[in-house]
Amino acid sequence: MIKLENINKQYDLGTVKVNALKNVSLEIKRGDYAAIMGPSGSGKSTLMHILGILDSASRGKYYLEDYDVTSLPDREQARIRNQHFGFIFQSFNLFPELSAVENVMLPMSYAGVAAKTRREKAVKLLEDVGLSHRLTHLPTMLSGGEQQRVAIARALSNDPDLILADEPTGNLPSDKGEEILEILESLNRRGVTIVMVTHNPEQSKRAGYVIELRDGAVIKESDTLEGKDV
Amino acid sequence: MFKEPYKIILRRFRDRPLESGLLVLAVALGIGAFSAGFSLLMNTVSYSRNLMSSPEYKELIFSTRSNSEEMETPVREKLVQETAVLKVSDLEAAKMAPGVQWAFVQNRAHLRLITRDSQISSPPEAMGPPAPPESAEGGTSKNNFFTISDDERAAAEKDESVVIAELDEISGYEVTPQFFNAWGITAADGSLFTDTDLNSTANIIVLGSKLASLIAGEGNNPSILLGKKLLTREGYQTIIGITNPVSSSYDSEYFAPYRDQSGGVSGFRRRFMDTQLRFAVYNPSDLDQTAELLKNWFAAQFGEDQITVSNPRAEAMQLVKRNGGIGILILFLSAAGFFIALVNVSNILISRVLRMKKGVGILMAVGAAKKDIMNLFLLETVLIALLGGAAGTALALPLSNYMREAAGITTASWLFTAVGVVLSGIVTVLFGIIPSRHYMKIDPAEAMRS
Ligand SMILES: Nc1ncnc2c1ncn2[C@@H]1O[C@H](COP(=O)(O)OP(=O)(O)O)[C@@H](O)[C@H]1O
Ligand SMILES: [Mg+2]
Repeated sequence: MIKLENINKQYDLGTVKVNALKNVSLEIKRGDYAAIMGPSGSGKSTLMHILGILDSASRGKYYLEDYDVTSLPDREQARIRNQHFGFIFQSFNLFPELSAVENVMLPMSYAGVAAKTRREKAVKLLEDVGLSHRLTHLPTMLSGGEQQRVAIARALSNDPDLILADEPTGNLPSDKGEEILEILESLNRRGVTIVMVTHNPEQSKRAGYVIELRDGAVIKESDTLEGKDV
Repeated sequence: MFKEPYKIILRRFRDRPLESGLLVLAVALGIGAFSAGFSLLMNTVSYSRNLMSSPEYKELIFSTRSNSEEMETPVREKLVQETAVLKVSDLEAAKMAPGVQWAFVQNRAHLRLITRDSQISSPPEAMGPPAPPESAEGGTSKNNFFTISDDERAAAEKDESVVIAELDEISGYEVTPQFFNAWGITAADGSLFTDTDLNSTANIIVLGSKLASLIAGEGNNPSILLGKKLLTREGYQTIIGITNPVSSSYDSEYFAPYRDQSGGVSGFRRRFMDTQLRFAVYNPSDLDQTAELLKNWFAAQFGEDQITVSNPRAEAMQLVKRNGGIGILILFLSAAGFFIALVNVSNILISRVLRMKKGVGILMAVGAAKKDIMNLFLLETVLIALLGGAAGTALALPLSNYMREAAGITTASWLFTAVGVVLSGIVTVLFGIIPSRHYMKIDPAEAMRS
């Protein structure tokens, strides 16, 4: 599904240049459940942003189903993010001005879905993550776990092929984090490809395989003990 | 319903009432000031242009010294001056100046009418201008006033050929025929008088269109008045024509032939008034040159300094220039205020961009293209410009009204205020694009990090 070849990302800070990613090559297949691990500052988020076409590499190639996405126009990249990817962030990143259901409706409005359909689907998705009683709540009235479940519902609103989750449980107590993880795993069982950044070795063991980053380079790509489909 | 991205913008606007209010107020003050200043200048310019295109401002007026001046003049000189009486024949001065298109006399005049219930036996001092204390001929009122007995009036009332109006007085002008040419006045019914009529003594008048309708009475076609005799204290006046409307005060006035000889229509009064000769030029730029030529002619006829010339255009030009200058100054000040307001608005909007940075990153993550983001915040700017524009218009209308009145402009068009509002609204939006360009530059990956 996704193939990265010799991706480099360099930040030019005037006097110093930071090499956030160095010659990263990897492949993610449809249906994979990949975990990205590594110390803080090792380039995990940078890699996620490049995977999600929110950022572009300084050098290297990015193929999505054999298409070189880096050369696509902005509008087309936006369409891919909207239609094929779902993002989940450590800090939830919900819009405080929008209610839970409106936050979930948001990506569908960029997909041109009619208002009624948007609402129906958003309600259904929120029910699926156990939030049917929180539809009209604003994010500030929700707990962290609830906010992250709204964010998951939002990520799923356009039936994505790939979910990119950057430390989705990082801001949550462990029991709430476990709930989030279980939702993601059930999605994976239904065929959704998942790439998740985590600090938690217990969590990474549950993934299909682990990509380990250090100083912007992949140092190890390993199957986990459980060894799911690789 | 609004799409979710718009809801974000609208609710952000609503949730920050102080900041949003300040934005709208700044825009309102700016637009209000600018459009008021703009409309003042445009109204001034268009009013002046209209004014200056009036036939009145193509004229040179020649007259003997005014009465007030005359009173201060020593008796000996006064005698000299009395010889300087301008006559219709003096209009031939026009031959000396090729720039002159029309030459005519136009003197203010009044006619006091005899109505069905006016007191005809009492002396006429009661109404209209006072009668001369002692006329030059020392004549009695019989010389100057046409009187009829009650019986005669009763007969007149029955006479089909006599018109008895229900007005006490009508005003108009005693003119020579070229007056009609200079003002583009034509006859709708009947005819205007000609040079031949000046040589006869028949009392004839031409009525302005509104005056004719008024005298004819409601529901009557004014043309029934033609050929009939209007009963006035100055005798019967035969109505020979009715003018086409010219949308000026002339529509409500009458015109009688001006004759040098006393004894005609209100002839006594002319001796107490200066007779003014008017020379209308083809081209206003010839006024000065024409004035010189005519002055020389009059100086040769009457001696130096016997006749004064006035050039209404030159006088009006000064006023027009002053108003124009004030208009430009006000527009400059209001534009400066508008600009300062816009810079501030732009700054507040940029600080909004910085606060919205993360939101922009999220919007792009869920599928917004850079253009969508740009349009979204442009919408915010347009919203502010619309609200500010509405409030600004509410400010501008009374303001420009007041300024216009102060500048003495009577005819004004709301269109100029509207154009000013639209113009400044567009400029506001253009200024709003500057901060929304910042949104375009936001790197979503970087925005997500904050
Ligand atoms: N916009 C940026 N400008 C400069 N340096 C950056 C920027 N974004 C990330 N970096 C640097 O790139 C490196 C990788 O960052 P990041 O991908 O966020 O790491 P991680 O997510 O693994 O903690 C870090 O050294 C960070 O300081
Ligand atoms: Mg990170």
